[in-house]
Amino acid sequence: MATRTAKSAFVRNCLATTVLATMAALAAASPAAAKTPADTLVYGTSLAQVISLDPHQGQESTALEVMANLYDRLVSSDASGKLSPQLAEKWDIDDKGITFHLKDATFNGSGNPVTAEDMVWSIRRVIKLSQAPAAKLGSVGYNAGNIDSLTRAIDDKTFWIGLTGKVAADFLLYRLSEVAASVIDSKTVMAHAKDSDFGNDWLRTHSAGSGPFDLQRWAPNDIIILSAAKNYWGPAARMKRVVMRHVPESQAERLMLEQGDIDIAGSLSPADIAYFADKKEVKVEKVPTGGFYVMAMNVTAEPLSKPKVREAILHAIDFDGIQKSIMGPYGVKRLVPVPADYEGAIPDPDVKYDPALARKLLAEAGYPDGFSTTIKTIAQTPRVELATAIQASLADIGIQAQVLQGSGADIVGDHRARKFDILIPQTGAYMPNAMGAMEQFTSNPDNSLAANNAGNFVWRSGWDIPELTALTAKIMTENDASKRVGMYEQLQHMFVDAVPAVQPMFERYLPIAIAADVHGYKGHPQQVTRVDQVTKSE
Amino acid sequence: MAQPIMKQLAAMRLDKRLVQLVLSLLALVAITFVIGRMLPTDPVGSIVGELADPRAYAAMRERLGLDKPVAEQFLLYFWHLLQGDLGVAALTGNSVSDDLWHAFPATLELATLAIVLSVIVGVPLGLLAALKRDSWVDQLIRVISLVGHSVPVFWLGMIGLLVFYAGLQLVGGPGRIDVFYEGLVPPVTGMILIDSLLAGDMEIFQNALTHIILPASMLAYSAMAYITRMTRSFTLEQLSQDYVTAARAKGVSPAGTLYRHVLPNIAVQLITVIAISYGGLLEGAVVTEIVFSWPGIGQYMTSALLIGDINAVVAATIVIGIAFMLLNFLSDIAYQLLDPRTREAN
Amino acid sequence: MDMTKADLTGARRPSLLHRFLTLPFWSALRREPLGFAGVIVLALLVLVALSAPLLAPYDPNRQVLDSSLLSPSSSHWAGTDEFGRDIFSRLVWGARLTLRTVFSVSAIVGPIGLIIGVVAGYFGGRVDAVLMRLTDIVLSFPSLVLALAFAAAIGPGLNTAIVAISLTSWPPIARLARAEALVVRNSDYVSAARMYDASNLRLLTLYIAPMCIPSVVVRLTLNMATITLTAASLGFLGLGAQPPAPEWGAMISAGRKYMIDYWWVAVMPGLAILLTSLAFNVVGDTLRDILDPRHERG
Repeated sequence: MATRTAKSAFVRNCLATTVLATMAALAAASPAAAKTPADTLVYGTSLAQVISLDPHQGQESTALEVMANLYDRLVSSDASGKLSPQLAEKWDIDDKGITFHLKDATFNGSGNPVTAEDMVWSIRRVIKLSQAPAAKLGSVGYNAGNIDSLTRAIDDKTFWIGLTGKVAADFLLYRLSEVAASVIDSKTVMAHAKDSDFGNDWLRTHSAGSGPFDLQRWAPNDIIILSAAKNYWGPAARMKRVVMRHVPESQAERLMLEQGDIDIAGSLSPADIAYFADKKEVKVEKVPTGGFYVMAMNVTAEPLSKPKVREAILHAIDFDGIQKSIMGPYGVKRLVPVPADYEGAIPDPDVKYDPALARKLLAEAGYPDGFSTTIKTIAQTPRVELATAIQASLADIGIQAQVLQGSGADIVGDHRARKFDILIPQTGAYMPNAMGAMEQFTSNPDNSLAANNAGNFVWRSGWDIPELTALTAKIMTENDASKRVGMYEQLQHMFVDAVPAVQPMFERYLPIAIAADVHGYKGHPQQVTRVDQVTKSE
Repeated sequence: MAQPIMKQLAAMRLDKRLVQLVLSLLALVAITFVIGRMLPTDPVGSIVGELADPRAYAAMRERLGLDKPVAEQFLLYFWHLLQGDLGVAALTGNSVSDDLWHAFPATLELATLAIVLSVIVGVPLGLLAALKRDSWVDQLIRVISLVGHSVPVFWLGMIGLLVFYAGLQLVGGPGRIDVFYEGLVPPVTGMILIDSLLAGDMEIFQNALTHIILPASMLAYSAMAYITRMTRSFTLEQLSQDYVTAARAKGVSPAGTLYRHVLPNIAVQLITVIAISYGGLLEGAVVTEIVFSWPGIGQYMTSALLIGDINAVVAATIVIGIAFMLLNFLSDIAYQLLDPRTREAN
Repeated sequence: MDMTKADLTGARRPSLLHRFLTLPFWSALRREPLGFAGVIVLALLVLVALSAPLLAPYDPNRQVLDSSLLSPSSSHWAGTDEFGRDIFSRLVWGARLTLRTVFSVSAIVGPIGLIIGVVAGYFGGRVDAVLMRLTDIVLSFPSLVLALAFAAAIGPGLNTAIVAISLTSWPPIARLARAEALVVRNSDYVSAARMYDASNLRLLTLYIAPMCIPSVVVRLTLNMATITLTAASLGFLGLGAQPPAPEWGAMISAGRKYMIDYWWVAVMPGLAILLTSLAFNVVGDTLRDILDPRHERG
């Protein structure tokens, strides 16, 4: 505000100020000619619910992928399910347990050698921390009472882990290839331990592993930055930095990928994935999860407790139509809980989309006029769309379903408490074989309300299946892999014949879009994707 | 107006205002607590996942303090709050106060630039409208600012991204800087524009500017209506005063009158208007941040909303509330100090 | 009542119900083309909402997956969404939700604000101090954020949104009603009634409150734009009316996933919100101009 000239051109001044301010703002914002540097891999994805980067605590899928690059496990599995050595050079199996012979590896940062003591300490830590990953070791029979006697350091480079009798040895190996079984630098972490937290409070936001990357920075819900480990014991990472940015909006992510602001986009919507399908600059990869989008029906009450009603619902839904219009790259129709390409998978049962038949079945079950019910789902693509489509299908045969969507907390809480009619959960295979995908659908040891086994997927639906449960347990301890295949098939047929209360609908895929100049990124079903050998062409 | 009297008056009012502020803060805390406890479910499920083991579930429940009776939770909540401890966020696993400490600068940076822009544009437009009262210029300005006041900012933001980022490629995309620049500048204030200047990194400063300009302009546009409107009416009021007529009679040009007489007189009133708008912008940023992936309190709060993380929601409400109230308080003080006529106007 | 008109603080502002209905601004409105346009738009909106079943060419919730995401055409004026639902029909039905929210909030907030304000203004003293402190406290709350937290806590839904918005929007009304009551309290006709031993309740309900209603109504109109926008924000965040209800904010939120390729899915409901909110703003702004050239603050 300086001019004091008597020019009565104040109006013009005002306009000029306005225009100038706008111009200055725009000029300062020079065109965004962004292109990610060749030595940095940039991800855009949802970082929501990444709450811990302690491998014995965190379990959200993005967190798993991060931790898979910070830590090593004894063994690793590739995307097709083949096991290979990671920290272990080789291993011997007998009927008591597995003996691992370790490679000469060192932890980043401290430079400490990776010893059998670290293995023992890490495995025991998983159980004693008692976080979500503890359940994974728990499911193969380990608990606070037996873990000390079942893990042993024979010498510096030899680690032994005992079998519990609950699962066969190769199932245990798969468990040990998961992030939950990561090996941690015990000396470094214990230096940060408080009370009896085994250093959890510190490790949650730091890294102390022997993987190709170190954690440089993590701002929850914002950004995760990894930097290549300086003294990595293996072949050094090709990327200097890996940056993951929280971009919850699919369309924003798509724009960023298109403009070269990011290299890899996760959590894209079906429409945006479809957009990249025929673009040369971007390739779309469908990462299989081995899991399913499921229709869980609460069978503790009528009318869903009647198998005929469930059969009617199955015939009322146009799965093929939904796959085409809604699921797109997210799912492939599959009504059996084993992905079609897994060993031992049976073909899909012949369930036709037939509303007339559905109405007839419904009448036979005693509901000629249909009934009212609810469909609950987490407010998330594509589950909301799926629920809405199912709602419309059910309306056609006279079932009035109200869709109730809610936060993860609400919906999962209701699911655990059996407070739902129909609910749309999703599953994942915890190991890349038929059992890893199917066990959660076919095992419910105690269906009583008092058991309150809310962690069990089948229990939540109140579906009592003693025969299936018994056969599942038998398969888990069968050491002869070739014998298992036949048992898998039997189990699936039994499952289909029982008209399941936990009905798989679509095999679940996580589509990701990758810039074409990025090479060597291969998504892993258990989210243990390593990015150290990913490269970018100029 | 004798100086001592005015000072005394101001001091007296200050006491009252402070009491009012403290009462308001207490009420806010009480209400947010009640809101927090109304939530029908607990956030444990969303953290431990859909297929978690009951033991893991119980462990997380304990970690979040949800296993205790409600009365105890209440006391703990209050006690912790007094110590600045807002609990653990289910969303991030961090302490909420840490999270907010990191998120707030992003929101502050955005809202501050927005208010600066809206003043730079809004005040001249208001003056112009007053000078050209009832002309087409006045009407045009009125419509422009009313539209800004009526448009859903999040929607405008979406369209802005589409046009200026995707289409014209004139500005940076979502987020505060291009992703690969992240982590290169040491965080001092948490505001990237300032931090990059402190680090002397002009490349990142420029990049940050390209990113902030769009969301800030959108917010500024929505805040501008009120500022323009008030500037106009304050100016009209002044223009009708005798001293203006007198000055004009003495041959002072309209521009001169405006600069020398009107502006200083309306400045005091404008402070209040700007402070209120600033508070409104802090709030308005909440929804806008989602559209721009802006890692501020708004995005934090809405992500927390989606997973039912009531600790984080309540804390974010309190922090925004406090900022909001403090702004009102400060503007009131400024008003009281600078303009003794306030009391009559009330 | 006639005798009181002239006594009422000269030309400060018209305060009688009957003046509100008959006099200046209806005629003044005609001289304000912009304000008049606003009134027309609002009237149309109400008409559309009332006759939604007649106007909407399709069932707003009917899914036709084959014709999803069609661009605007003669058969679908505003295109179709990802479920093949007709967007124009959804907008028409959505007008009901928006207007219901706006009017419900006004119906809640108006009387509450009026009562608090009138009681505070009439009794003065300690009652006034307490009520006005309460009012000021609520006035200093960040309303949108509080509404978000509230809606999140008691579970999303249209009624939740209405209550959440109402919680923080009564204070301006209370302040205004109090100011009005202060003026009316000292007017001659109230003093006269007092001499006839009229009870406090009688004075409040028959003599003072009616005088404050016109300005309260005007203030409510001004609030309506804000309510529309807040409701849209809540809907956008999934805290308003639940699917498949055609709530405009929720429609934007859903359409956002398709916005780049199918602009109309998100743009159309945005335009509907903009138009509605603009109409409320224009009408409110015009009313304010006509009734009080000096403008209220806040």
